[in-house]
Amino acid sequence: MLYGVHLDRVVRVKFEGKRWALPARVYARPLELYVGRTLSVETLQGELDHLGYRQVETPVKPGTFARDKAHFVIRTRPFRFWDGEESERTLGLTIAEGRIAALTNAAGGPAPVLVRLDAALIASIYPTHQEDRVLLRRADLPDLLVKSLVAVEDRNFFEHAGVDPKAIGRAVFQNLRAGTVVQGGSTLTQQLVKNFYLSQERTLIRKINEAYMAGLLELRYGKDDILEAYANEIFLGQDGNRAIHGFGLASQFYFDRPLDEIGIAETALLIALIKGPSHYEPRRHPERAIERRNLVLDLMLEGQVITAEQAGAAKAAPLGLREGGGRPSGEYPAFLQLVRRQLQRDYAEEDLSSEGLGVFTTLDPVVQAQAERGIRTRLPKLEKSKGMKSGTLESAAVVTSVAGGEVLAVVGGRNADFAGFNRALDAERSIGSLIKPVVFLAALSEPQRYSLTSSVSDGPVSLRVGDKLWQPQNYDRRSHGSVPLYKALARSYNQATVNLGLSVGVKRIAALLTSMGVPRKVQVVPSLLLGATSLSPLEVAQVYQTLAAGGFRSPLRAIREVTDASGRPLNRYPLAVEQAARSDAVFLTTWAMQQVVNQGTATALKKVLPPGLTVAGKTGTTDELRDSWFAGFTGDKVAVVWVGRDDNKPSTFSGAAGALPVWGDIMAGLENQPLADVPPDGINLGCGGGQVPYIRAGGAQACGGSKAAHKGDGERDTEGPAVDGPVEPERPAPQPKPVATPPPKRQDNPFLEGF
Amino acid sequence: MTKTLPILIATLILAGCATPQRQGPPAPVVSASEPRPAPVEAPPPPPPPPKKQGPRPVQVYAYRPPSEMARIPDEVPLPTEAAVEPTDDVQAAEPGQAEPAARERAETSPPEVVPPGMALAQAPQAKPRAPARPALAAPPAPEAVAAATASQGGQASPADALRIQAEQQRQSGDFPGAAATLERALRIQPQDARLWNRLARVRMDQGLHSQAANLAARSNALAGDQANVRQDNWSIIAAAKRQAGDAAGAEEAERKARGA
Repeated sequence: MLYGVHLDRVVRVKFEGKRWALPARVYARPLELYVGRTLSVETLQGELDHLGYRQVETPVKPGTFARDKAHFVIRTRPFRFWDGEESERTLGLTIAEGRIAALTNAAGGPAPVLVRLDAALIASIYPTHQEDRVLLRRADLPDLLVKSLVAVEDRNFFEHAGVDPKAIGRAVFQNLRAGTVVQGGSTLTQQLVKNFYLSQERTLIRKINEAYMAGLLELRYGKDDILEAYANEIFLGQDGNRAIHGFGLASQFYFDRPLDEIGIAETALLIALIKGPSHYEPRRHPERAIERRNLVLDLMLEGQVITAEQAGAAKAAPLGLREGGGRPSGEYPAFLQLVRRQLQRDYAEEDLSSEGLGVFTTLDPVVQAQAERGIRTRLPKLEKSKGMKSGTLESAAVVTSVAGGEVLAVVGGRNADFAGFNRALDAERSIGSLIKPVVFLAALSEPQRYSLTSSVSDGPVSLRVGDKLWQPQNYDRRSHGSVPLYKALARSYNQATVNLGLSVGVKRIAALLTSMGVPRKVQVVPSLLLGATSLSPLEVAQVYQTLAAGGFRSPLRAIREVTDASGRPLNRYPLAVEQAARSDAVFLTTWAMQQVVNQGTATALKKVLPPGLTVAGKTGTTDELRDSWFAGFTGDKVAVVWVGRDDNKPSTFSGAAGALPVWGDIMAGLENQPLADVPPDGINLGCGGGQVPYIRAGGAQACGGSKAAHKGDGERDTEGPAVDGPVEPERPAPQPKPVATPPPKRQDNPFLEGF
Repeated sequence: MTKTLPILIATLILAGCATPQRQGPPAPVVSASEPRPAPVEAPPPPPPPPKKQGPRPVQVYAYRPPSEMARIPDEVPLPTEAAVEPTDDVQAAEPGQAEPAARERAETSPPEVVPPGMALAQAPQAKPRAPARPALAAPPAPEAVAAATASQGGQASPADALRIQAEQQRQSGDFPGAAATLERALRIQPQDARLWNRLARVRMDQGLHSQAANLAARSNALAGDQANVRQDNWSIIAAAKRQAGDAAGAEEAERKARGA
């Protein structure tokens, strides 16, 4: 008797706990639709495909659409976002000239201003087991499924008390007549218990235990509870090391559609699988699966769930399998790694490991696909151009939004589907000349001393480092004499940068780098001025995001919202900004970085990017051409690309020759806004006739130094190798001619800066 | 009571011949209490060493459901404010109109001196635990956007529609909702100074003074010649400085807020 009480407790604990054993669902960003939005027909079609919308003649069911060239009628799915529900609607949408030209309510009524499509499921996070599930409530279960299930598996489900003696008797009779086990007499409740609690042994004792526990379950819980648990629990297939439990997930896995969108033939197939998911595996054994499905259809007809006509039509239908859906575990491994880390950093462990959280990420599948494509197609060309063996080069890319610091895409290697070493997050490589904008920003933050046209000496530098001399060279091994500041950046002159950086102070530059978002300790050594510090592409993206956002750093984030299983928001990842640099000085630096593209080391971009799209960027090359970088931004996107080798041998590519074309391929294929043309307070556009902007207020002299001399000539790649290793200055390098006496200026209040 | 019969029989049988029962969860059960596996990948880089102006790690604010926010009496706006229909024309006048109440609140509150580094007083620095789940249902769908249609002849811009919705949420005390709506608008129009200004105002209302001032500065950098937006930004910055105990800075900012 005690044992009976014990089992009762086991049943209760398991059943109650079971209902919440759900992994977190991870979603991509939803696509926003509004008139005027840049959107190509292909992008929209791709998004609908990705979401598993089906193209039909007349869209009646949610998750379907009709298309006539560039005109779409979309029956959207309702979707619960963190800030409320986007209701189901019939949307008329016309695309013209790469934009949404019209957005209407196809069912009549006022036209919507703004509509979100449902968010694509990109992953489930399994905290402890490789298990996946799409939770269904009793009310979510389609009538057809429930009736068929009862007709096929347990005719007296709604009457019996857990076991069905009549069914057992019938099974015994059938089995005796056939001389082997052809029919089971288990009720749905017994099957649930079997799935829930017990091992796979087939003994009489186990059968009795099963029956007993089924009885207890029936006593404790209603038929609807049991049905709901069954629908979520039943094992229906195996996807690699992922077990497919429940009808909801199975529908995604086999048909790439939610359960309420499948028809009679598909429903029958799911029920057919209950008997033996691996034996009737429809992808491997289609004949067996069809045979079993048709048998189920006969039983459905017999149970008067469907008509003879429907049964006939369904029997003639193919299995209807579709790839792609419900198999999120393989996609976007690099991005998801970032999501996991940020979840672990910002959330308590116990919140993450239970309760079917909804994690709404910032991933933009369109941008991600473009970034992957850029790397996948360009790397073989690069290898071919140097006669390298295929697979020699590796690459990584990060794309973020400017304003909110949202990570839109992460590519961790040239094989983006491979969840291996994530170079975007974990490859720490010397950044070379990518640091130069920070050096120039530090200088331009002292408008009393420096303007874009200030002269800086691009002459030999010689510093004693330990007992060695450090004599950085320019890429072309020449010194260019006195050059205006902006040109030194555009041409990436090493000697000019070192001279400028030493006069500003290496310490100040290291501090600026930290406040712009580099989370590690930066060694304060002169070689820092040429990028002798190692960062991951993601960290570089943070620094350039700060530049792109006018000096306002937003911590890069991959998660927008986390909701609990019922859709209520748990914690906000809010947009936060912090001023890391003066807006006016950032504006000047950005202007100089535009010259990198217009007349400097990145002019090749002009051929790739659409006309009118202004961009700012910087090439980066390290010692012996090991690392090839390009980092830059448009008005709304920051992108960082690294190309190199995993073994850290020379890649033989400069930043302009390796990473830049990849960057161009990625950005040219994306919707981009041009750089903001409204200058911040205190900026005067155009200096003299040269149209070089300068900081008006405070600065002693408007246009300093030699006025915009040395017009652009040639498009040589003037990258210079950076030098690794700590070095100590023996004597200060020659100072560039200060325009005015340098008053000490400390950044005391981050938000007072620049006003 | 036919139900009890099989159970009774089974109980009697089982009392005699018990098989060992599995105590652990069967394979597919995800136990919420089990620790998560240690991350295979390297831990995220350590936060930067604390320094005067050093970057702060991501601030994560504990979510407060709108239903709870609404219950805080002094956050409920005056009826006149709620009645303001923030069309574009009214919006232009709004900083002068709707803001004094907020400004007064900030100014008349006791001059609690908050160290600059701690200004985000409301923001828990530690990992926020999931708040107690409210018994109420999820927030109702914001129908404002759906309702805001291009009816009045002119094309309503999506960012404007969201801004109007956010203003309604803010005035009804739903600050997290307002912030989420403004962030959505900023994804569409990231260079819109007014959206940044509205977000700053929401943070101000939430008591997140330092973050409000940062957002106001961001707005200023994009504001160009939108004098009313600039002035409201300066008033936010002024209030934040006063909160932080920077009287001189606050006066300077107030002067700019007056358009001087």
